[in-house]
Amino acid sequence: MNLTAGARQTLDSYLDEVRRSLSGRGDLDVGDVVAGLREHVETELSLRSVDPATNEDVSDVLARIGPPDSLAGENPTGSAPAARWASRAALALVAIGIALLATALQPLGWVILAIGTLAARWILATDGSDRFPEGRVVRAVWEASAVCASMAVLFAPAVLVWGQAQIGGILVGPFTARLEIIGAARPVSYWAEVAALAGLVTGIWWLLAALFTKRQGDRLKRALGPARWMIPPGASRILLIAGALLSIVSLLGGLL
Amino acid sequence: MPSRFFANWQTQARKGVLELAVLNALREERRYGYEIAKTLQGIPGLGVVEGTVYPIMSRLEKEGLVTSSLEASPEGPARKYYRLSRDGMALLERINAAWDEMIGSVNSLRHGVE
Repeated sequence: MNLTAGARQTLDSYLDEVRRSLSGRGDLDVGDVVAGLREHVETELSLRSVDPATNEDVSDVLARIGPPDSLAGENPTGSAPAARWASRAALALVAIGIALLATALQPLGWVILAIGTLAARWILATDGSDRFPEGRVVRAVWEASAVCASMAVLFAPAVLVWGQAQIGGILVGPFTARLEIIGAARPVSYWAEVAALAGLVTGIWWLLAALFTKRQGDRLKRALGPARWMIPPGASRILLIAGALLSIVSLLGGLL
Repeated sequence: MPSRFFANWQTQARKGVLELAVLNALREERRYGYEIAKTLQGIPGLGVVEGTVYPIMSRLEKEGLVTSSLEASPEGPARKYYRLSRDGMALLERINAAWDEMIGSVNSLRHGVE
């Protein structure tokens, strides 16, 4: 959807007002509401075949949607407002903490940084503050980073197992070859067992990822922003099948 | 003043009815947010402002009364489709029954007084 700069600013300001008016509501997902309103505006503009949509076009649609404070209404459950622990200052401190921890825990630090990046986006997506800055370069950099971070998360178990096997040896069980080697040359069979264990752990990890994607797919897509294409329809099913196959093949490979 | 009293009463009455209207809009088929908003906005007497549908949908989803799925659309952005969950369908039956009882009672009171 193409919007002029002024139109985009009008829309973003409106949605920011909606976030503020709905903040603290424990009975609904603010990010969800904001995403729905954005979808509504884009659908209306798409049906009007305006390209690019101007400030007047967007203002007209927003007038029909209603003022932000009219959407707040009453909290029917009467529950206490949810604590806004994801304030930007806290987020900055968490980001610095993760960076320091990642530096101290090399070579695992890059995995921690990748997870930290996605976690930060997740937190922002919770209250709808997940708007991306404009600019092709920024978005391209984000997409590349998101791909790297997601690959790191998906293959983290394999990296951890392999890394441990490299550094100090690993007790490879309950497979047939039970080896406990510290600092000694490792035979080929040892690495075959390590590969089987890495595959099994990764397969189980992917099964958990499939469950997570099925339950939190929408929020994950918002967190990924322009890189949401990484979660195609059926992503959880793909992860489920891949995880099951990898686990079974690795288990059989380790036993044989 | 009567006009202000009427306006207040109308606002309160519509608040209670809106969720009932949204649930009934999903009774027969799944719909996406824009579609629900336009359908309800076109019903006279409900006085629906299009944007109010979205907080309602989010609340219903959080309560487990509706489920949603995001699907690509050939025209415009991806659409979030909503459908009633099993709990939502059961609750809708109860609410509709309670609504019929309420309307019946008020109408019998009206006819009795007139």
